[in-house]
Amino acid sequence: MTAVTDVTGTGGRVEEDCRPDVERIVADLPGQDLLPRKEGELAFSAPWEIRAFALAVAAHRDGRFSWPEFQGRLVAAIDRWERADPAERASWSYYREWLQGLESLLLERGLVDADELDARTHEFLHGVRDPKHH
Amino acid sequence: MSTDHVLPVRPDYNADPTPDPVVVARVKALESLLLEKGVLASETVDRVADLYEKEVGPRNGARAVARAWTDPDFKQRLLADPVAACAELGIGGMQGEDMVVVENTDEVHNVIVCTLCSCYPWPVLGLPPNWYKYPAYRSRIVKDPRALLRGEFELDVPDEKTIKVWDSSAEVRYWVLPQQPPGTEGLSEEELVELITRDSMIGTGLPRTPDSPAGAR
Repeated sequence: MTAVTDVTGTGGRVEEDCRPDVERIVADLPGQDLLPRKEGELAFSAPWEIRAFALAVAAHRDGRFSWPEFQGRLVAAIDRWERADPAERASWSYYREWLQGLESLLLERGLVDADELDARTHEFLHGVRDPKHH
Repeated sequence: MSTDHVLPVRPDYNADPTPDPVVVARVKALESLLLEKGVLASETVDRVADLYEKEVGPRNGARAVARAWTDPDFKQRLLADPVAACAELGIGGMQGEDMVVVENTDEVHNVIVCTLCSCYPWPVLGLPPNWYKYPAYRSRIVKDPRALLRGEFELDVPDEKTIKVWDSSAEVRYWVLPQQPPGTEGLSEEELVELITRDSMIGTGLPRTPDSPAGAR
């Protein structure tokens, strides 16, 4: 789609803007052999994985941290998983580790507060925050 | 940068598609806090997410459409009771909302909107695209759908075809059963799934044809 005016707004145009950047980031991700892909493209198995992916990339693009800083956290999270005992390694999810890495960086920077995050998670879990309308 | 991790077991990423509710809630919580505090702009998140969301989310809907194209009995069930028909394919997640599938024909082209906010048949189509939420789409698709589809989505609906606009609400989510592209009758269900785009189930596009470029919406 090549929409450039108001309705789709950020539609086709912006996608073309940010795709090369995002692809550069993806090409540089740690654990390339662990990264779920389908036909070369990133493969996500659930919407939350895409949101988690987008949050980290967006926070970096908005200047909240440098990409190597995030990569370091992701590597650490994956390393931890690999060293965990086998019972804990029963299920593997790249984006679970991703989320863990992102969380640790945001908390450390004081961009998110741990208690607040727990409370908000609780609200979503119990439907307080998920209006029926969406 | 270390890229040479060795895993004891090669993980099967498709083994368990059931999301952990806690993880899902955690991501939502993180996003809502970051936006609220102004750490992130929602446009930045949406732009990155949109690169991938348009492929993953609509997969369930595409499976239902491909089945309907190849199995007339399933199609009848899908039109009569979409929630039950989707459940046959293991597609669930509707919580009390009803779902209505509207069928495109030679006479009628359907398109969906939510004029009030951004209600969307997310169990079948995933998360809505950004523009679906924009006031400009929500008002113009009602006032002049033909011009909007032509101008913004490069979709030319012939004048003799009626365009019906379906306004979703919290109670009823509509989505579109597109027409099967001519010349694809011999394809398998799996091949057909690849042709069915998100926009074709919103009504702002048509399914791909086997020779149209991949990556179209």
